[in-house]
Amino acid sequence: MKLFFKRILFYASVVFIYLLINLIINFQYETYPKIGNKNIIFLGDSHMRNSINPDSFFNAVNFGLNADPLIGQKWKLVGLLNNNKIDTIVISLGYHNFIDSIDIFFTSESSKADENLFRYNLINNRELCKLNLSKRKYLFSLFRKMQKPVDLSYVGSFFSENMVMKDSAKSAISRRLSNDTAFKFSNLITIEIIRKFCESKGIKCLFLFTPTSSYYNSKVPVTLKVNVDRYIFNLKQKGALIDINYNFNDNLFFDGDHLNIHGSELFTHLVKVKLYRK
Amino acid sequence: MASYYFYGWWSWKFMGLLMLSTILDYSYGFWVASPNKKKAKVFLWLSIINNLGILGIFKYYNFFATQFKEGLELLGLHTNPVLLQVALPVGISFYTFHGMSYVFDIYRDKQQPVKSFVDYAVFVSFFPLLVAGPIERASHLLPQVQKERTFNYTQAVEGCRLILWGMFKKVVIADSLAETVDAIFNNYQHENGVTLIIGAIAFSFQIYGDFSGYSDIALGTAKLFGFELLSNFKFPYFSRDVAEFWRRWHISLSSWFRDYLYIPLGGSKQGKWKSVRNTFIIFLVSGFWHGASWNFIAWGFIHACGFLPLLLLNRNRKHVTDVVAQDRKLPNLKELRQMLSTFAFVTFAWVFFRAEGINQSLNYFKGIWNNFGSNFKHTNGRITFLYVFLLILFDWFLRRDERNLKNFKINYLNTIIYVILLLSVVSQWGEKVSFIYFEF
Repeated sequence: MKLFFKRILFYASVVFIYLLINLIINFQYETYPKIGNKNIIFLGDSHMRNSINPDSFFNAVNFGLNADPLIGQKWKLVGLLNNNKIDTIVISLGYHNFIDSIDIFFTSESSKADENLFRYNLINNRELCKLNLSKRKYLFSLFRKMQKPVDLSYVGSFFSENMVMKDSAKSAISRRLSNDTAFKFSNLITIEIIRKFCESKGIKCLFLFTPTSSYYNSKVPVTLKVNVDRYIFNLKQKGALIDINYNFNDNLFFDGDHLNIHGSELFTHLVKVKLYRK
Repeated sequence: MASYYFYGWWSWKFMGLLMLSTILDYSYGFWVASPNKKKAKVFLWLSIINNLGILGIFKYYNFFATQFKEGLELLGLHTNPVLLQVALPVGISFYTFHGMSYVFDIYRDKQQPVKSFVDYAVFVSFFPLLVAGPIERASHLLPQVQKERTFNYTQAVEGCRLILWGMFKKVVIADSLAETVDAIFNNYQHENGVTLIIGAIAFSFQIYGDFSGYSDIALGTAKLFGFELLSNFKFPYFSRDVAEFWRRWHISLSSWFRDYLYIPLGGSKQGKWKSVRNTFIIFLVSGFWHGASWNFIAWGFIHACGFLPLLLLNRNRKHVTDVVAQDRKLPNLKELRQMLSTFAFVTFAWVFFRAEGINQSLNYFKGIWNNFGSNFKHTNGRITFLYVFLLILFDWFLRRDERNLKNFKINYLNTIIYVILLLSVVSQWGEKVSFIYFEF
């Protein structure tokens, strides 16, 4: 048994030395120079994932995740804030965020909320290092539950330069935005939960209404559009909206509601101008 | 105690259920051993009802209630059945089967009832195999529980090697592939055909790495305590046909169904049509065991369809004892073709296993057919495919000796390999994905 434990000790020492070296090397990132004095986190679903290039900003990360519910942004924040200091978050909004029943699934019970928190895996270390963080415990953050971006590239999986309005995308939009689709007030509650949470943590919370193609817009039911536009206007009046007043041509989209490379480059630039003016 | 503490760490509430199942089957064991066969049969059925009842309530009730509701709605009737808001107890599919096999074996006079309740409780709740198998037999594990065990250095080292290899397959291969697989399956409507095919293949290796990795960890952990468990995987992707695949994949489950369902139904001894019927029953039940969802049943059905031609042509027992390229280093063309076609079939079926429903599975294949582009964008997974290649290579060279890291005669070579594997595991460790079979 002695020999067995000696061997175990040997391999445990190898692991310990590796972790120590890892800690020392990564500790260097603590002194990464601060430029612009801002930490910006972009949150949301595929609309955010595929439209904003965080590299264009000073110390920014894009944690948009395809098909992520609105309430999920709060859970991502909870995970991030345990070890990081954040100045500003920007959350994407679209018409679909005001109709989905998916948020109800995630907000109905605290136990379900815990499951939702658990589904977010570890943050990617390279993304973490881009942030200018204070008192970041590197090794501890390895074990926090935090969302990992599906793809490091901000354009996500839509590496397209053209509009590709596939039949499946058309029918998906038609299904999602049928005339029966109603404006769900529960989503406003979700937004308020997020805003209050950020306020309590001293974080600036901004929303970004992402652009959609003319085909998509033509499918949005009138009542839904009226209610959403009214709410968005309220957010703008409160200074909580990054107002991008630009008409995006259809050739800037990959499909009905996701920008292609050219669209996202333009959109990123417009958001950057507005954000740094605030 | 350690096993119950381990289980209670997940949820102390369901420890009671585990204890109840254990007490009931322990008691049934004595009554089933009665010389009065009628009485024994009654208690056998009580044990079956009890175990399947527990499984049915926690795992299948919501499924049946929902199907019942949808069935009535088709007839124009509306109902609102009460659905259970209870999590599926971890390991329930495994420990109920442990209990049933114990009672069955006593009924068939293959096993004597265990006098010591503690010994029996250890058999049912033995922590390495409690949550995701392998499904042990009483006749194999109980004698080991009952005898005195002493520390065995060779066995302990083998155990550690198995644990390391299992962790490598799970953490480095399966969890890395999970990222690519999730990205592709969650966004399959926007992916081209080649990406979807790669996604399916990646899932084949993800589930293999995940489940066989877990089995290796379980077997290795058991070895540390002086137990030898049943092998659960024997390089299934080197199978030459579907029948051989099922003799190499999740062996403990397929042999359990063979011994306790297929053979009692008559097996293959009551004519061709009954064999066909029994085969379909086994595969459909196996699919259903994995999950209360139509796509799992579809997965079982597909495998039944793949097995059926072999059964009808009497070719299902062709490769029972030998391995592919038994006396050669490399497979010949025929064997390669057989392995690739079996792998392709199995991968096709895995899409149903992984998808969220039958519709998604069918749309997935539609996507492959309609959109056969070749732009694979998930380049983050490239290094993982190298690991998969290494895994295939390693498994190939181990295929005759079953699962274990090869023990090279040169000591430092062993050390270098173990260090590389260990550091690969540690460096990937933070990105945790739960074991797929924990969900069953």
